[in-house]
Amino acid sequence: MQDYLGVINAQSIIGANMFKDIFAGLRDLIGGRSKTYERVIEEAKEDAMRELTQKAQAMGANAVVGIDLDFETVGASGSMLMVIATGTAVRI
Amino acid sequence: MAILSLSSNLSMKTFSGQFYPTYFAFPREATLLLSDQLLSIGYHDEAGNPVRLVWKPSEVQGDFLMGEQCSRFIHFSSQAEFRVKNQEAIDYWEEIKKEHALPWHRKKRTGNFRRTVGLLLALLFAGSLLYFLMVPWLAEQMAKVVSIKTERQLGDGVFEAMQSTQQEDTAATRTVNEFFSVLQVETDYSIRITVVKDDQVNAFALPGGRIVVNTGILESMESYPELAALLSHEYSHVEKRHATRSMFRSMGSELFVSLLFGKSSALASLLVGQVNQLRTLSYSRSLEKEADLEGLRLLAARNIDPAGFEQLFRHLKEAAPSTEIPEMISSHPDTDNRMIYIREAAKGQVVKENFQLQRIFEKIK
Repeated sequence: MQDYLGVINAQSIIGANMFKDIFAGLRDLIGGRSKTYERVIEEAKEDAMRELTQKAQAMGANAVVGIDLDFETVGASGSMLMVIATGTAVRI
Repeated sequence: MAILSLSSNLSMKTFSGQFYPTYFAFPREATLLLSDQLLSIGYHDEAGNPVRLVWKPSEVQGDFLMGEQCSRFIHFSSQAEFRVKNQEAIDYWEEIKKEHALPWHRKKRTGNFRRTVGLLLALLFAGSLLYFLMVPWLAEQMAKVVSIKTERQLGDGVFEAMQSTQQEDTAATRTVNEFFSVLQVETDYSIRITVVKDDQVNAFALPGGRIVVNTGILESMESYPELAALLSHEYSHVEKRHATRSMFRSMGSELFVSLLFGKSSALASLLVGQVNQLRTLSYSRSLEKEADLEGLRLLAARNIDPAGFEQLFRHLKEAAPSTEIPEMISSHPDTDNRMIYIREAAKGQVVKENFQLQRIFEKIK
């Protein structure tokens, strides 16, 4: 490890739209995996990770270590999803 | 398989390699982020400051150099180059590009849109079928099962809760009950009328046979057919189980809406809540009309003047606040409309004076 450039984070907050919420609500009724919500989570995670690596790159890092992903719901009815990616930008 | 691995994993890869700011420049150690949206390059300049460049995929050409065994990306306008050892980077690049050239990928948006709209319409249709037919039907069935005893307990509960705030006019209560008994209505319910001291021109029925009449409406009355009209109207609410039925209906709708929209956005539940309220009001109006016509039939069977209804409506209208609310957002039909359909239904009715009722009515006055 040549350099520790510091802790960085990136977040992405995504609202599943009203219709996705309805479909997911139906899925909640009949049971099973909700692909609609899974896709939204996937998208939010990818966005956060992409942003994190770009931030690291802009700092001159060539790697990010110790990445931690946090998933949280935000918004009044908790229908928005927030992903926070935290990691340490390093040069190796 | 390739599509799966792309969509289920992170659609971005990072590579380390050499960056050539210009063709003949000294190469620098750099990192490359490769994704379908951009190529991002990070390196340090001569002074050691970090620099980040972003290239669009359309501005870049990628190939594989056999001799040097490395993947190469050339930026058209700046002629800058990025080289990564071995084939992995260029393979990934080709995979992303191929994936994006696929026909369904191009049309994905419109296809998705059409599918969403179709699904939405189907859902809307099924939902409204449930909401407008199934839920009310179920609610009516459930209301039918409720026994008179349960209804009475329910009505008494509400009545006792109200009694603490209002004072009863015992003398008037006795007289009005006497008046009603003279009408000789056959019913399974025990009708108990209570007159309370309240200036508001109003009266209402509770489930299970309780009818509450305000002194305000009694004082506005001019003749006994008017009181008979009022009591027969309220009695019809009891007999036809209007309170119980509308309670079950609104409970059913609420349940349905909360199942569907319970956890979704506040806006959606707000909108549907409004629609729900309008529906409840429209149901309430239809019940009022039913009670009016049923009450009129009661009067007709006893040869009491149907003009009592018209008088009653006129007094209600006079007492109503000057700002008239549109019928659509009201729990009762428009007073003028009520007069019209009552007049229509009362055509050709035989009227006889009922001196017994008149005598009791004069006691109240």
